[in-house]
Amino acid sequence: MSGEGAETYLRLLAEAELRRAAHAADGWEGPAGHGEPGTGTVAAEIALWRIRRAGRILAAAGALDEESAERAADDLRAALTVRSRGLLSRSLARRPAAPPWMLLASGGAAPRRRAPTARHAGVSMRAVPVGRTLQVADGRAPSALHFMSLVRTAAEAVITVVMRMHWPADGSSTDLEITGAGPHHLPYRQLWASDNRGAGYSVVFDGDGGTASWQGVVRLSPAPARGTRWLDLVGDGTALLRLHLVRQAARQPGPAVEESAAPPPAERLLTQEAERILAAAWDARGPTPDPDLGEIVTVLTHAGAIAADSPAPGQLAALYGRLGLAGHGIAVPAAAEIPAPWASVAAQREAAPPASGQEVFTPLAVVLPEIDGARFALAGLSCAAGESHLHVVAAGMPPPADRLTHIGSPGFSWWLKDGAGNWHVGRASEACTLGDGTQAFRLRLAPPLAAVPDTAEVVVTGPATRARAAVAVRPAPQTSED
Amino acid sequence: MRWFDCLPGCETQVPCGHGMHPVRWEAGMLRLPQHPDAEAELVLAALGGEKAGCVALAEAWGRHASDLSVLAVGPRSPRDEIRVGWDDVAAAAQAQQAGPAGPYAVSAGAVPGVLGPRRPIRIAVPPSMPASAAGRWQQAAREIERSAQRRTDMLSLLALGYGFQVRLAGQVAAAHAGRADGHDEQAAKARPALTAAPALTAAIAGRLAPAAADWLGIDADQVAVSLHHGPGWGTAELDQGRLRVTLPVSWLAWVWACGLAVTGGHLIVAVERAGWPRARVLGVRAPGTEPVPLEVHAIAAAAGPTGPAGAGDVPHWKM
Ligand SMILES: [Zn+2]
Repeated sequence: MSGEGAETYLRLLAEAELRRAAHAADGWEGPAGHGEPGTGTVAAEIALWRIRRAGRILAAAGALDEESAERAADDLRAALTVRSRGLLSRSLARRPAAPPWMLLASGGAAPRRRAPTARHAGVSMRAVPVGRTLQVADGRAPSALHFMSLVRTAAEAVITVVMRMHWPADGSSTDLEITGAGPHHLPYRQLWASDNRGAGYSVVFDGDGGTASWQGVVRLSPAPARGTRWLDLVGDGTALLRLHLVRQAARQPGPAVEESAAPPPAERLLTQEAERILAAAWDARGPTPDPDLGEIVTVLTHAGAIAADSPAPGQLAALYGRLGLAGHGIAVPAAAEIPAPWASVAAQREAAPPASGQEVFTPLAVVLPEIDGARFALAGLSCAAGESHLHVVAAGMPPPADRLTHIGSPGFSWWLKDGAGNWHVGRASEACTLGDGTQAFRLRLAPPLAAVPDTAEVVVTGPATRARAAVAVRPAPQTSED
Repeated sequence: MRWFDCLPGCETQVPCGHGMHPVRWEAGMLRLPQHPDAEAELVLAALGGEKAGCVALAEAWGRHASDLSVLAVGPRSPRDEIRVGWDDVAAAAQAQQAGPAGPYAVSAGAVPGVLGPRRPIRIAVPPSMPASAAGRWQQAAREIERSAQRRTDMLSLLALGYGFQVRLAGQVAAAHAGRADGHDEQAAKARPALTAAPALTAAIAGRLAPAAADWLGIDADQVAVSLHHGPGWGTAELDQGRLRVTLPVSWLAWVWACGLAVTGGHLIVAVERAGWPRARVLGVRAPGTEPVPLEVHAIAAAAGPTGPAGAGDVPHWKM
């Protein structure tokens, strides 16, 4: 659909809101002599708020650029202001500032588009399986550090890692346990790495976790030069573990990848909500309906950003029903069927939870082809403490701040199909952003894997492209201890 | 025949220097009786002399003669009162002199030379900004300056009163009409790039809705408007209580701005012979019927105690 249609919708909505505010404001002003805002001022604020929200929804859906949305809201604000003495006085008390879209714009007055950046296009990204474990037999906070895979970009290098705590069963370390799992429990004052040529590297941990396990990356700086054969991890001067970097490099073939067009962005906004709610269904607190959902669906359909016969709103309503959630506010009847991956996740929730306590830390070294300007390395699959994580290092993704707006454009979404044909939705952790824009993050899989599959189908959907990759999870046997 | 031929001249007083001067609108032009050589005054002002209030106002009028924001902000009907007075204009001008506010105003003189004799605009460049950002922040400073000028302009144009507000709206609509309505062939070829359509559609909708509500006694929210392109006047159909209308952008200038929207129980859709105080128009008696030619004449209407200042400057028409 054209931006013109969405902008026309927004501006017609603004006309209706201006009428409503004027009508509600039988007398735009508050009581004479009082500083309180009158009904007119309140009505005006509500009108403006509605237009801003509708504009943000349309911008997030890619139906309208943010600048046009802001201009429509600015025009309404001006129209409301000159009709209300209260608003006019308030406005005149402020000195003029730059229009808000100037502040938003990342490149001067140009609208901020979510088009994929080409910054990292063609960037080299290499992944090497490491697959080594360091047992840390510290008396009060024993743990195992599982090093999975090394990912190298032009300027940065990280190793994906899971730290699994083995807290004493007698509760003697409760004071430490309540601080959560993580590298702060490592009993070394200094930790660094050195390579086969004697070069030294600083080692910095970044990640997050719960009480029993911590997931993240070890960042090496400088990045090891190409051809580095191994790294020794050194704690307080003692070599702790050797990480081989070349031994298996050639063994893992690239995955078979099948590309197709992603659904339109407006529908992806709704899909993203489905993914959010499905992932939340596996949280202890359970899923909560998004109070804005009805409004989002209404704006997108009325503006023509979602086709009138699109199944997406009905499917979302059906998913809410399936999960026993009321109050979604979607004004269309629930669809008879929901997409198979959604149904699979919902069905696994209804079935008894898997009892497998199997813990695995599988090094993956799969670099996907470029998807909408972004490169992804799948750098580990871990199952520990009842959670499953797919470890990802990305280049060329929009910076995290961009994705934290209230109604964000749909970013990348992740799904994984296991060997038994069950689907798992991936929810991204906060990303650790490195100097060159490389981001490392984990996808927490919902539900967690019942067993580690030999191959998994990973589906990544970006702004324009969907890629399906068949990933061999266990291409090579684990290396033995030296 | 010109769009404003159905409009008589009108006049108001504006602050100029230490007193008030008349400003007149006549046959599509703003006239400054006290400043016969406004161009010479502008040259003097550019050389550092003080600019007369009347002259500044005429400049603002010229700057916004095709500005779609005039339609977004200005009145939708004679009952739609704009509450801007000359005191507000003075307050805005004073704020403009004081310089910008907002997140930029932190350290003095970080971007020198952006403004002339007034207090320098103070821009703080965030520490994380890349080197190329300085130019962008200078652009932001210019944008603040433009934004302030725009606010003062808009307030002074509104302070002229309803008669002038409507005439300016007519001028803006007329400036866009040739292109949007598809009469201007050259421009019609460039239609894919037409980005004014949403604002123009809303401008018609916002003004037709109260008129149509009066015409049919329906809720203004039940009026759906889209743009009519090409020959003919458009359409008006009633569909399950909802009035669906297509009209060309020229309707805003020729019909609405001239006070003709609903006359003698008809929705006026076009002007066949423009003139004041007598004109020939096309009016629709009821939705779904063909328009009929109507001879109409203007009646003098004094601004009532409830109408906005200047409401009497837009003619009322009778069959
Ligand atoms: Zn003067």
